Amino acid sequence: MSAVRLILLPLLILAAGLGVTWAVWDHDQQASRHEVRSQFNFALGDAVGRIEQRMATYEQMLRGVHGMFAVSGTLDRDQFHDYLKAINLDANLSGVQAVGVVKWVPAADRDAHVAALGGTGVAGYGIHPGGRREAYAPIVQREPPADGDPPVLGFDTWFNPERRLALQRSRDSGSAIVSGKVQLAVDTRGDEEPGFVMYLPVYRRGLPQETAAQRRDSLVGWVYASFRMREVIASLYGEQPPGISLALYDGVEPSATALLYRSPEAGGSSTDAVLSANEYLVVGGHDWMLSMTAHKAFEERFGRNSQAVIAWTGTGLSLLLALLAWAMASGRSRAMRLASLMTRELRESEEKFRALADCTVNLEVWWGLGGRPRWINPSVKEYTGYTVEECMAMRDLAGTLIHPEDMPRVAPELLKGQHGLRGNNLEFRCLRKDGSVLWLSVSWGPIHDARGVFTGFRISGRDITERKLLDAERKIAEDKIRELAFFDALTRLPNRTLLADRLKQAIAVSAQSGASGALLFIDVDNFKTLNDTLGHDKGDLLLQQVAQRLSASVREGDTVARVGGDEFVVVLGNLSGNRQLAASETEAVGEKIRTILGKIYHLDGVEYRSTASIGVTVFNGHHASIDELLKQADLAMYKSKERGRNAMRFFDPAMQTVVVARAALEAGLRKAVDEDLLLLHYQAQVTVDNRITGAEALVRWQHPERGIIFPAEFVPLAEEAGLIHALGDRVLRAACLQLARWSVQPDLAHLTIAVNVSVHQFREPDFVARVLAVIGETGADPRRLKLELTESVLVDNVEDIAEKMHALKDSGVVFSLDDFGIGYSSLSYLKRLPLDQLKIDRSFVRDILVDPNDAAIAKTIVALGKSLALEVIAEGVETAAQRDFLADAGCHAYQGYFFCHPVQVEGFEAFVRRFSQRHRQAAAPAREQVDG
Amino acid sequence: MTRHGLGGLLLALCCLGNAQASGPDCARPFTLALHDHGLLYSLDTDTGIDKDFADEMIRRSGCQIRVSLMSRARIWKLIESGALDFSLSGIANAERNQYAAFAWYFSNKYYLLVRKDAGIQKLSDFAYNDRFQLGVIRSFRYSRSANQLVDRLAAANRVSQAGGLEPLYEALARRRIQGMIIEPFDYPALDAKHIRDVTSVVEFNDPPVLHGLIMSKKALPPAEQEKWRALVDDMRADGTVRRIFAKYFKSDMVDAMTEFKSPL
Repeated sequence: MSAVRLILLPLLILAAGLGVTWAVWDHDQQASRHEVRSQFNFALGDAVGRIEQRMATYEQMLRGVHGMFAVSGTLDRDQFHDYLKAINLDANLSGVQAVGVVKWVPAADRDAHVAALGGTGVAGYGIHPGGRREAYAPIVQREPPADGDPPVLGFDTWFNPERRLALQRSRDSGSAIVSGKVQLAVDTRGDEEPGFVMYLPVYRRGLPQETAAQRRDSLVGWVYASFRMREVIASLYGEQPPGISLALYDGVEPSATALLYRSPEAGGSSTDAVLSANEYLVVGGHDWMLSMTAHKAFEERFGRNSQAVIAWTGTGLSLLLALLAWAMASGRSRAMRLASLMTRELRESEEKFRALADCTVNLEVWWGLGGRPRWINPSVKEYTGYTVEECMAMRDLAGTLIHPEDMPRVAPELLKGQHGLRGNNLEFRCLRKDGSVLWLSVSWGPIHDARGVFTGFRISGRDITERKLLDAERKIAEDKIRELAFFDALTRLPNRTLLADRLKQAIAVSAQSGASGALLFIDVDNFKTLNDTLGHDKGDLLLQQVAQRLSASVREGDTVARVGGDEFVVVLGNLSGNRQLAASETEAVGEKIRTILGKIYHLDGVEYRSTASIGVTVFNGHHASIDELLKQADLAMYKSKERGRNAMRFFDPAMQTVVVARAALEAGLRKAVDEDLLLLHYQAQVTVDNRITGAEALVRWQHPERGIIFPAEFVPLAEEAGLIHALGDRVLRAACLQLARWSVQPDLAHLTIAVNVSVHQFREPDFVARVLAVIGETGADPRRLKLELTESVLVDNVEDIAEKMHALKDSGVVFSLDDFGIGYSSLSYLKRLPLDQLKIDRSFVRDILVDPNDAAIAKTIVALGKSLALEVIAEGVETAAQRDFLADAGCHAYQGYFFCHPVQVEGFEAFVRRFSQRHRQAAAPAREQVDG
Repeated sequence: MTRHGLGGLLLALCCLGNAQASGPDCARPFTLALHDHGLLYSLDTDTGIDKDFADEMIRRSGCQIRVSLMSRARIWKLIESGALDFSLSGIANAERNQYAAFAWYFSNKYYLLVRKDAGIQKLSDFAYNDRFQLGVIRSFRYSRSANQLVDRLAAANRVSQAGGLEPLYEALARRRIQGMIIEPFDYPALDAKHIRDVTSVVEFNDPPVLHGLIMSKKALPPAEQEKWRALVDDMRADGTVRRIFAKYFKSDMVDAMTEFKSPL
């Protein structure tokens, strides 16, 4: 911007100055022109005035002559001569050629006139040119007398047109009239000197002279004066004014023939005419034209010659001003530049000073142009272990000190520094003398000498080893946190959070590329059982090994994640775009996984065989959301579990309906439990002597659409949905309430109710308290309450079970072991738990008559019960033959369709009454029947 | 009418009060100069309005007045210096008022006479015409717009001066000049010289200008000026002026020229 100002301002000033100069010059020019013109006009007016004055003088002179004649009334020759002598023409009235008399001679008087003149002594007088004309006006006297041939006297002026016109006009007007341009009568040589004549009429005295006619009648003649124009003009001015030329023309047009006079200069210098003007004079009633021209000399005399001076001084001044302005402006910028230069030098010296001052803290290395260090501060010893001398002596200081791994990164920067560029915050490792690593952060910049020449660059470095270590530690910690957030601690696999992200990516990639992907939901079969039998630590080991095997089974781009206790998810990507092909590819992978997972695991010395259930769903693009895919795979996995585990199933849309149905059922069940819509059916338990001891309470769900739903269908559902506790509570409560009701009916008060208790319920820590609470609330007799446990409850933590049972037993509750013979239980449990009853599973009873094994087992169970002092009851008795067999075997209690189907309480109560009545009546015969 | 009556009364009173000779003082012979200018005075015929007026002045005043002929320029110069006592048909301006006193007896407008081939139909046309040469009589002044035109053209050196009307007519006929300023007394010459055929007239939009007897302040004391003015007023009052003009002009022209409001 200052450059613009530097040039613009002086230019403006120059322009302004030139403008003013021009204005002044122009004004001066105008004034000069005006001056010249007004001087010219003055000269013209002056010339005109002098001519008019001169002619007026001549006229006066002529009038004087005329006066003489007017007084006498005649043209006396001697009088004329004497008069002219007296007025002394020569001295005062130069310009007059001659003064004379013209006589008016009408034709009739011609001869007399000639004769008369001859008589007065004019020798040889004759009117010339000769010839007869109407009238004559000859010159009869002339002073000074002229000699010449032809003689002046007798010259007929009337013959000459110009003269005649003037003679006529003067005669008619009585005034002095000037003629046009004539050649004077005396000029016979042919000189052509322009001349003119002035005529003044003389009339006869005494006659009237008012009108032209009267004047004509009284005309005697004229007096005249003849002039040569040159001499007239000459007599006007003593000298020409410089630069003025004039010309006088007869009439109003400047033609050569009309030219009366021309001043000498006019001929030559017509080219430098500055100004010219014409004026028309009326002299003696006759028109003359005066043409005056001013030349350069006139202009120079009267015009101002200051134009050149103005122009030069003006331009000079403008230039000077502009130069001054420029000098001032540039001076300012120059001063500023100087100041900046001085500041920079000061800053450099400051930097040097500071650098030196820094030398106790920072490492300073100054490099020369050749790439060799030229100065190193003593701190280098502390930093690197090398002394200054050692460093300076090194062949390649940079190469020795800088860590080889960082060298590729640092070398280009050093090169930049050598070329004068600045830089900072370059962090790299150095190797100390003792081999340890030192982290340095350096900045570098160019060095200039006092004249500003680049002489090298300097590096200034700080020790940042500590910071680096801290940074490294921090990084590790950050990584750890990140891991925890996204990875499963046990298996190091991505957790659910990271899986969701990976899955999202996989879907996106699939959408973009068109390739398919697959989601595999892998559930380790019977993992809980393993955990319970072998312990959690073994379980963890298993999971870890499963994780390893899974990771090994997939490609690098695929994801393996742990999403639950024993649930894993595998995301496969980059499958074929064709769904069928993708499915086959996935099946191949799935089979591989299944096989691998089926191999033996070594868990800390224990060999274990495990299987997995796999559910697969294939996806392509954004057709399904993450949650949907997971649900589909999950469903498929459940299906495979249903089919018996160790299988792989693909998600089938048909499964979806199952899910929906299941969900509906679950909702219905929840509602039924909440609103206590479940029913209890009772199946009688009968003894050998046909006594009904009690009933087993069997829960039924009265579904509004599906009708009765058996527990086999909804109890697992309840267990999964977490409803089992509420369900169990309801059942227990209903049973206890029923007991309470029966307790006040004498014929029913002895009945027991057996309630099935699931493993989940029994495992609850507050199970005992709950049962006791229900018993207390309902007012049931605990001795009449029988809790039926399945063998699966005995798998784990027997101590806890025993404790709970004892606690309840103390209150009077009776325990029965259900489905005995088909479960896991170890026989030793039987002696540790306070059981009261064993229930032979129906599967043994069904074939007891045809399968000797079942018969043997049943017998054995009976024997076992006997020896352990446990009651034994057989389930599923459907025929009398079975009953009889069992009776023979020693089993004296039965339950089954043979006696009673599970019915509602009213039906059961009716059955009891009926049964009791019948068998009471036929007590003896009944016994006989049995024996028979 | 009333004014004339009052004027006459005043004159009578003046005369009575003065107890001097009623009329100008004829102690010395006076000089009056005429200039050749159309109907005002023609050298060739030795007749004209001004000549008649001068004769009347001589008769009324009883003084000796010597009439001579000279150029207008000279007349003004001599009036200024006091060498000439009277002249006629002069118009006043600020400069002239310093040395001359006037007694009005007629007024007329000024016109611009231009050749038809000069291309001037109205005054504004001069702006586009730089070949126009205007002819004027030396020392003549005219009405305001005419003066402006003359001054403007003179500054551009487009004015040719002349000592009288004759050369201007000649020059106009020969295309030496393209126009000149004229007054009603110039008209006859236009017809006589056939100038009418080749020319047209452009009006100056100025009011008529008063013309009057010129009296040299240097030569005549104010009291005498008043007497001569009174004499002129008498001539107007009793119709002498009208009579003189009627000899040369038609009656409507006479009315236009001789009827004017005398400025007080």
